[in-house]
Amino acid sequence: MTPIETEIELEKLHAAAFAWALACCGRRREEAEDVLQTTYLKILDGRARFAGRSSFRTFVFGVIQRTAAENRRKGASPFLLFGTGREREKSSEEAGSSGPEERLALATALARLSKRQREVLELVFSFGLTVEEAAATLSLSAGSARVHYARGKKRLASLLGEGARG
Amino acid sequence: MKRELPDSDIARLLEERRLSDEASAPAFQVLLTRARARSLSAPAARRSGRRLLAAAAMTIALFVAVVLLRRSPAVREPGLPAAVATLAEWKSPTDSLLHTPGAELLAETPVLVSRVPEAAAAAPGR
Repeated sequence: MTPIETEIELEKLHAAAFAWALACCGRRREEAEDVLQTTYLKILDGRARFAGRSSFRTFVFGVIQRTAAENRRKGASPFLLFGTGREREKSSEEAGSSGPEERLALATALARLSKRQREVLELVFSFGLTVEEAAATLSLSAGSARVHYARGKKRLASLLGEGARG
Repeated sequence: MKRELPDSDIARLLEERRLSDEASAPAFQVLLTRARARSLSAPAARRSGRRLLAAAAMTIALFVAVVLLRRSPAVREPGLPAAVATLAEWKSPTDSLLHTPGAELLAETPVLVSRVPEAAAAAPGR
């Protein structure tokens, strides 16, 4: 893939990549933009090379996830996938057609899952990846990803169900 | 029995959130331009950081050298080389162990009372 082709492919994926970067950065917009910039630079200057073993989207999502993890390790923020309550609130205000209570319940329920469960569920439900693709993105074995997916989905359904009942 | 939200509802909620996140994404070209500008300015920033670090290290080294040179030398006997004076002042760290109880008895030769006449009388062949 030439640099021009790579740039075109990145542009096609840009919106989804930003949404995934937000999910990886605890929904902090500035941090997500920073991670995305670093990701694009890594891919365009060849520090992250697409070997063609997976889809280009899986590869880009993987680089985003690793870059966000590196940023966290450098001490950018102690928070993981979900930021402060204020940020969650802000994000939910911007959301689509579901009601504010429903969005808040989703954010709260997702925050109660483990990081891996949350990541796998986001990739599968939000971005339409298969569990195997999610496993490749997160550098997990397919078996582990399936366990995270099943347990996370069960817990999320239960947490959201409780919320809906109460 | 606990009520669980169906998969379709979870998928709907998460997809709605993704769509809203995607809609708020900054323009690709803007982000890329910023990234490239940052990559160009980063080596310069690293270089100036290294220069600053080198200057700080040199200042510290200079300060230490000045302090060492200005320290007052030890009082020595005039005319003696420095090494000799140092050796004369040296004391072993275990020097105190040599001061044992009764050491003063060994410091001088004991004086024995002479009983020579008795000894001569007792000698055989007299």
